[in-house]
Amino acid sequence: MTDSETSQPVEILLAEDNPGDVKLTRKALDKGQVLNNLHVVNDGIEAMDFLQSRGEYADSPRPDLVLLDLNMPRMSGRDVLEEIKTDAELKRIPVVILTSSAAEEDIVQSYDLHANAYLTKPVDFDGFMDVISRIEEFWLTVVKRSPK
Amino acid sequence: MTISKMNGQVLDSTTYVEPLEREETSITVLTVGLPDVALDGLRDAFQTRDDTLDVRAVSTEEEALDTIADVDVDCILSAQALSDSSGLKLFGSVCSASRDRPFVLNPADGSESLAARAIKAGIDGYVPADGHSAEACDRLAASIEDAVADARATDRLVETSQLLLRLTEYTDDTLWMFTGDWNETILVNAAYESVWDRPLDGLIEDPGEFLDGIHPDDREAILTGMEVLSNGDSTDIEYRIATDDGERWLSVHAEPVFDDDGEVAYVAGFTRDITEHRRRERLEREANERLETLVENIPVVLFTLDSDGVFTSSVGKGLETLGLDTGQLNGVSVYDAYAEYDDITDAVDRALAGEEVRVTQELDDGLTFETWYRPVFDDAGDLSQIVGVARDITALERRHERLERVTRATQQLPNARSERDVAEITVDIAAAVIDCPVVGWWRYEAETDALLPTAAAGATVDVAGDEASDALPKFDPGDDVMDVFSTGTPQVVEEGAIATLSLDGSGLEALYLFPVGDRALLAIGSTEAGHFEGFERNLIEILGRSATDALERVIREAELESQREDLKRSNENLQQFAYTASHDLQEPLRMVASYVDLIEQEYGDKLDEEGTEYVEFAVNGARRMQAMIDALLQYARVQTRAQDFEETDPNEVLDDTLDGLKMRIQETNARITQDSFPLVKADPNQLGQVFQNLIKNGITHGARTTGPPEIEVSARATDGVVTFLVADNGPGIDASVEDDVFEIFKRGSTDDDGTGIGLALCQRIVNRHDGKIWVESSGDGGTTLAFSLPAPVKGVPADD
Repeated sequence: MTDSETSQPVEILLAEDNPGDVKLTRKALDKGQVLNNLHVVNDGIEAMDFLQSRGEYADSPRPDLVLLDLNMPRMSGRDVLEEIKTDAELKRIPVVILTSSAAEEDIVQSYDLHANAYLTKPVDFDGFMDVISRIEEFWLTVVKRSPK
Repeated sequence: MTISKMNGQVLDSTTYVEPLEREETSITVLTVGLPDVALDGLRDAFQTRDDTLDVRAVSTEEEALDTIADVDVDCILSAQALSDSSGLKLFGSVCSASRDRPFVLNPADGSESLAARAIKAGIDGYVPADGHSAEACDRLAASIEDAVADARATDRLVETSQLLLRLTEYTDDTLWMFTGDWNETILVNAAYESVWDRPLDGLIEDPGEFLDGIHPDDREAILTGMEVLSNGDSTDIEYRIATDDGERWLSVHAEPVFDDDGEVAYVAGFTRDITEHRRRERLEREANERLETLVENIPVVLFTLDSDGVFTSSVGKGLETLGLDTGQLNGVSVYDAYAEYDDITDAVDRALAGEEVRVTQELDDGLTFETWYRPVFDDAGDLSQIVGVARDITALERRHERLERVTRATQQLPNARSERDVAEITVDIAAAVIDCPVVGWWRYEAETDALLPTAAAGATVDVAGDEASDALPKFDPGDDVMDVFSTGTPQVVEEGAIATLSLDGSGLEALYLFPVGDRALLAIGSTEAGHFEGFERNLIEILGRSATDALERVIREAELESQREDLKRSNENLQQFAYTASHDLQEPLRMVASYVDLIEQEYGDKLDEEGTEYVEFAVNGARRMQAMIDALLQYARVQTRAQDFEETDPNEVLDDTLDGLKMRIQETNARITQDSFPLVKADPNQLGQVFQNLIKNGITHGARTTGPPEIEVSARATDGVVTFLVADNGPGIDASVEDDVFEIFKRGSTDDDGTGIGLALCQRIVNRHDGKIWVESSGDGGTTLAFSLPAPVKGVPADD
């Protein structure tokens, strides 16, 4: 890991329909240690458009990390995850599942679809900061090592 | 044969009478008016005779009458010429004066006319004097001897007759004699009065009087008998008379008595009362007839065997089934007749050895007999014969067999899983096992109030093929079959009685309609009228009742199954609801908590003390709510996330649990003591949840006392159940809520910060394990909660 690498902003795609969570995520990332460009989409369809650089996202960069909410309108996070992991171009992009559910079903299903990490959204902002720190940690220690 | 001579007449009788012996006797003769020469000649004449002569001689009638008044003379011998009378006159005087005694007239000069007069008068002897020559005296002696002998014989006869008459006094038989023309009663004894219950005088007066006493129906026979007698033949008649005591039976034997001319002079006989005899005879005859009828008609074989096992008699209706006639077996040895039946010959062997034996023997022709052999011993204690009774129990056995087969067949019914199964099994049993020619089953459909054909067997199937039940009619309200069904009572219907299930042309004569509860109708047809009586009916009723039970059970099970399904679905829905609710509730909750938190962080310096406190309340409330939602989710998952029960070591589970609670224990300085536990059969994760909740609960309560919390976990094992006890040193649970603590969101005390779901979760888990959870004790010393779990089936190893 070099400085030049860390100084390069990380392209993060956040797929999340709840503006409250979007704001919390943005806030937490701003307070964090990693330089990043946060792109936000509000449902699964938009997420796939972004990932495939389609339509209004034609110029979208290839994200280094996808933060994916499971419960979204139109196309769920599960379906998005499935598409990413079955797409040869996209499957190497690390995906972190963010959900408000502690239900084990979600965990099992997500890992079955090869999510790289699974994180439950905590109830308060401090907890949320912890989560974001863990994502950064995850990024710095795991993702950057794997070839692009 | 004794011949008595009376007055020169010979009486012929077979009756024995002691004969008069002809021995030397003394004859006392009174001579009247005889010269001495006559007396001397007479004495000389008796010299050569057996009898000795004692002569009393007088001259006149007067002297003679005086003498016979004093002296017992055997014979009077008188001359015709007497000084004061004549011989004939003397005879007349003697006859009138005293008893009849022999009288011999000895006239000096015999004449024809005197002789005729003497005989006519009844003089016993007439011997002319003839100058009293030796010859004449000898004739005179002979005449005296004859006359005396005759007189003595007559006396004897009279004496005998009197004895005979006396005998008639002693007999109960009526002895009687009438003249041959029945006009005069000659003799009748007093028995007449007692037997006939009529006065003797009446009969003496009028011989025909007895006819009035004779039963009208028998009078003709008696009149005929009287005529027979009068015509010279004997007769025997049994007849009835009417008396004040009722009807009596008499038996008469009568004979005609002829005179010298061969005419019937008398009729005589004796009549005996045979009422009692006849009654006894009748009773005996009736008893015999009854016994005979009984023996010939009871369906058994009665037999006797001699001491060699040879039949000496055999009788009874049971012989018919064996194709034998009464007595046909007589003279045949059991060992020959039943050589191939070991059971029979063994039984006879044993009976001959003195044992009473009973055997059941199935013969080759399919007949089954139960036979009882009983040895009979004579006075000396030796076996004289064997009496036996053999009973044909073939039909009984066959019934037993059929009953058993039907009972066995109905045991299939509990396997039935549906109404159709019950219907099909039932009609098959009826057709195949009970052998009913036609069987049908109709299901009652409540919505249409109709009976719909469901299953059929027997001839119905042959006629209609596989879809037999389609060929059967449907019954609607108002049909007479429907009427029978609605009574709920089985009913036999003879041909013609039921219109909607016409028996015409079907060859069926009778139907048995058996309502199967209020759910179906079983109908069985027979080509025999009266088939459904007694045993056949019983068999069908057994089947019908079993079918009723099976049908009720099947329907009940289906209802239960459907309820179970509903419950399961409802449970699943509830789980889904709980899951979704808890999941979706999290998000808004997070919004509230996170942004209140952000307000505190970013605007904290702008809030006064009170504002900060508000924010804290808001954040705490949100946290608590999240905990409750988590708990609710856990509660819902007791079923959905359940694992199989396995042999679990509670010691390990508790160790792991305490590990997880390490922080909490350290914080509160809680002291946990634990027993060693036997193995249980449990879902280890869930057992851990129970331990965790109870211990957390105990720590929370224990923390409310002055000292550190003290928790003691122990266990006791009894009868395949392990009971765990978790005791704390808290202030105890208020008795009024003790029963409610296991309800969801009920809290043991109002000042704890629990979610109120821990104990409810424990209860749900323990219940799933078929265990129980309860408050063992609670008070100032603390609370002990207990729960039980099943021990593993096989040996529970002791830990210590």
